Amino acid sequence: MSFKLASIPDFIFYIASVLVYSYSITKQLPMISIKNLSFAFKKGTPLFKDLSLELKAGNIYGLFGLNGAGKTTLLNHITGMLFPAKGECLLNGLPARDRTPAMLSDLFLVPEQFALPSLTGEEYTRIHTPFYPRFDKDQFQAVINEFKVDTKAVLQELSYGQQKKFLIAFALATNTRALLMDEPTNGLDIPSKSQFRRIVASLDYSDRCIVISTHQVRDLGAMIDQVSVIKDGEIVFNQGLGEIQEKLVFKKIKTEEGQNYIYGEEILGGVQAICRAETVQDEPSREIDLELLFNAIIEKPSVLQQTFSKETV
Amino acid sequence: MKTLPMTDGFSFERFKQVLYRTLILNKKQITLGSGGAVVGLFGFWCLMMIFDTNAVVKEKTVIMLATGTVLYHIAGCIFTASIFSELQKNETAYRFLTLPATTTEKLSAAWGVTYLLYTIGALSILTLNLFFSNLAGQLFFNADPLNMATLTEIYLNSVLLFYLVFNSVFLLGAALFRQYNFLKTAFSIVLFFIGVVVLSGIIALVYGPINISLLSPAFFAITSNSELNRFIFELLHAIPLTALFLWISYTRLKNRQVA
Repeated sequence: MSFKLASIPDFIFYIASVLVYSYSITKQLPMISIKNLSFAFKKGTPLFKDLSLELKAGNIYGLFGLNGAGKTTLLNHITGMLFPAKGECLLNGLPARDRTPAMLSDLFLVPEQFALPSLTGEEYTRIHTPFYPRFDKDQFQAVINEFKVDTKAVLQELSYGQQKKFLIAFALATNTRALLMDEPTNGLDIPSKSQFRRIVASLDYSDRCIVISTHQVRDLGAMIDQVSVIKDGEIVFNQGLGEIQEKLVFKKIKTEEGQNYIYGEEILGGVQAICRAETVQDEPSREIDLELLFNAIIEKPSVLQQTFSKETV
Repeated sequence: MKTLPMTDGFSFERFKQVLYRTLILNKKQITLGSGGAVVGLFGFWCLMMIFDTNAVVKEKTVIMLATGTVLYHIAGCIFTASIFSELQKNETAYRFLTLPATTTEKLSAAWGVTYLLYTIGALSILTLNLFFSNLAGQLFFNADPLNMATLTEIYLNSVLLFYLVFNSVFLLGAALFRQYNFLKTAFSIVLFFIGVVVLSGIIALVYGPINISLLSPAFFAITSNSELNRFIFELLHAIPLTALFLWISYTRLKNRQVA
């Protein structure tokens, strides 16, 4: 067996990638690692203060936060489009700001605000797919068919929703191990949102880390398995759905019951509440009300943090 | 399906794909510009021939070529200033910044399109116009055939050197500014030359006239009679300047962030 001289570096790179990848899978190393990130657009008004976060493969993360909390800015740091003032942002162990081809070919971002070039969908696909070695043409076609997007049309002549569906289809088909989507359902009509949920739910993401940033908690609640909330420049909550189900119970408490709860919102005839699991006597429902949880995290972050801190376990 | 090697060093395969992408993204501009240049220049020549009763084909052809050369420089600088237009808006910057290719590949693809391919295209258009005017001159104005080789000499040096330097300056402008890249770069060049003139004036006032022999052709014992020597002398100035501006453009692109 002989290798062409030009293929030897590629071969070494391939072997090294396989080894690094196998190591990261077996050791469950984070795919995205943000360490003590500080950043400010304007001097004196920091957006992030010592923000740390680790995101692992095999999860779909819901990155939630109020408008202006810094979700998009955080995604821009992960993709290397913004550089930290302090701290670091690593992608598979390498600084994101390096923007190396190997790193970028394993990363795709669907931005909230985007403009596609004046090309047909077919032209766009033809010039961009070679950059993504794991691009799956059949998967792309399947999602395009599901979304009913015309790839022969000039992308800029499509409606914003159709353009977004095209970009989502392309993003999913790249099969990059890091996939970041910023407000992916903004601009989609109701049937398209359902289609999007169905498509994401059908993905094999065992080796992928998918981050969906949104403030529309209701839209995406069903598809995520990790909840991360950003507030005042920090990650104030970062838990898996399993842990949340284990420690919290979401239930309607009638006014006369007088049960203790850690957060509640008044509804007709009582309170829609979040209780600590150990305080609930009856067989609790394990359904998570993400919107209520999000409101609780925003209103009472310290109470939620205390509930999930190791001391209370 | 074609896939590219994703090594971290320079990859010629990836460079070719980025070059192809740059051409496809600018195809409308390139098609319109090329078509406009062919029709416009030949139309200009025809108008000169029709409205000047004593027209000499060779003279008008030289005027057309000179006009074409000026247009080549201006259009080239405008085209170059817009080559990183994706970086100008946050909505499109992600397309360029997250494209899996090195900064060197992205910059060399931009240079390849705006200098090499653009120059080849422009020379082809000028040659095509030369051919048309030669043919039309013989058919409709009873002119003798033109010696194309002597006519092309008037713009060759200019094409190779003047635009080489200005292309790199406008590439830097394209990488540096967020909007109005052409105007801002042109304004910066004007400011720079005003600054040089003012500084030279001040130095001359303080120290008296200075003979900068290092920059003079005499330093190289080159006489203006030797076209080749003059060309080499100019080349020795143009290449380091171009390299400097390309290097600064590279560092600007490498550290470019979204707003």
